[in-house]
Amino acid sequence: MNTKNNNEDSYLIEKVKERNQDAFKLLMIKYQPRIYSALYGYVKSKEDAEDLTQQVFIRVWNKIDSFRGDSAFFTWLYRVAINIAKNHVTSAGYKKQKLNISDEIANFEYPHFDSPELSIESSETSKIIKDFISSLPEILKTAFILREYDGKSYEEIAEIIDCPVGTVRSRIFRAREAILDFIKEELSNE
Amino acid sequence: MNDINEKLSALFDGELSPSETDDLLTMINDDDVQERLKDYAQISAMVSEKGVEESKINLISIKFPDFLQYRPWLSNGMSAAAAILLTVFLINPSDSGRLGFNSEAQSEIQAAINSDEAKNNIIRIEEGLLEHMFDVLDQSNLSNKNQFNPNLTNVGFQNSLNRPGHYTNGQENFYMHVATKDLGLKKVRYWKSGKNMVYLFPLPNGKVLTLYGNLSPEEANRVINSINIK
Repeated sequence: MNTKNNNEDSYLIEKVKERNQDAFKLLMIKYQPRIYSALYGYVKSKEDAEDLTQQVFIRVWNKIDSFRGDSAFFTWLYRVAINIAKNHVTSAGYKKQKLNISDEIANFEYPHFDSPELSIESSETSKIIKDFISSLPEILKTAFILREYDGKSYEEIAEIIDCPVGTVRSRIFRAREAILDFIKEELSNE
Repeated sequence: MNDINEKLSALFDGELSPSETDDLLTMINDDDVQERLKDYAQISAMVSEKGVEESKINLISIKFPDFLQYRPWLSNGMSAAAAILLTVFLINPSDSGRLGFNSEAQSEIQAAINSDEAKNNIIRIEEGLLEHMFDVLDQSNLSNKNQFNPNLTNVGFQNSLNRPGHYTNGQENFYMHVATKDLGLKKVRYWKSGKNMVYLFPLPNGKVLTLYGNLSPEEANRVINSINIK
């Protein structure tokens, strides 16, 4: 059991360094939505974000040996994505296509939205889901929030809420299942 | 089913022991397992601050190239390559006749079905080509000294300033590179990768000329025909 959240992926990373494709596939599945979302937030193009997401994971596969574990894996992954996105938006070809876009978009920290509707829509979706999470039974909500929002390990959560690690694991799972059911039932018809 | 899903939830959080993790990794290619893990990833992206913006459209699935899936003899290296190839697809054979891709590849595949020697040969070639293609997609792995900078103004392309090997005509942009090792390529091969194309042209000396960019097959043909290759 991992006790530090920074190292939650360490076993998988070691296996990827041994060129284990199943471990790599799991890391891709785990982080692809967040990397894609971050890249989309930067380039504001579904197609470009998909291309760049692909480049990020290819880069990760090729450069995984350079990950030393000094930071969380996602932090490193995010940094790779930022560098690739920066190279993309500052490339000559991209500038030519995006001449009507302010130079400020080249600054990754700067929020830029081409489609207010899309942003509002997804913010609303997010709010609906967060409202649902707030309505979860206290025992599920606490474990889930400590894990997903605060990044605590199961062991840390067990200490905080004073229960066995196995109970934490079960509560987080039940919270996820409840959220999935809610998304499928309530949001799939929208 | 709940038991396995609870384990997947813990796997997603990196909270399983190495032996439990190894057990579940053997199931990673199961569609249901992948879907469940994607669901958890989606929830995680939705509730995380960085994932809020595009919760509805970031459901891109991880795709594996069809042309890899019907070759059961693929080696581990090849499968690993397939695992990282998210959206690279083989162009529909009906589109590729002009560049002569399909016939040789198909006949090699057919021969490989019945011959261990042919099978080993095609694995070697395919692995070499795929490794090369990944290096093209991740250009940081390409050596600068192998960039090729012919004058292409006669076909409307200018060499980008300060970016050796990069060409543009204002709308189409591509990168040109010559691989130093013999990849065993006999005829032109090309793939689609997102909005870009990867073209591999065999050169008389056994090396391979690569074009990578949003270049149509017709333009790629024009470019290659304009180059005096010795």
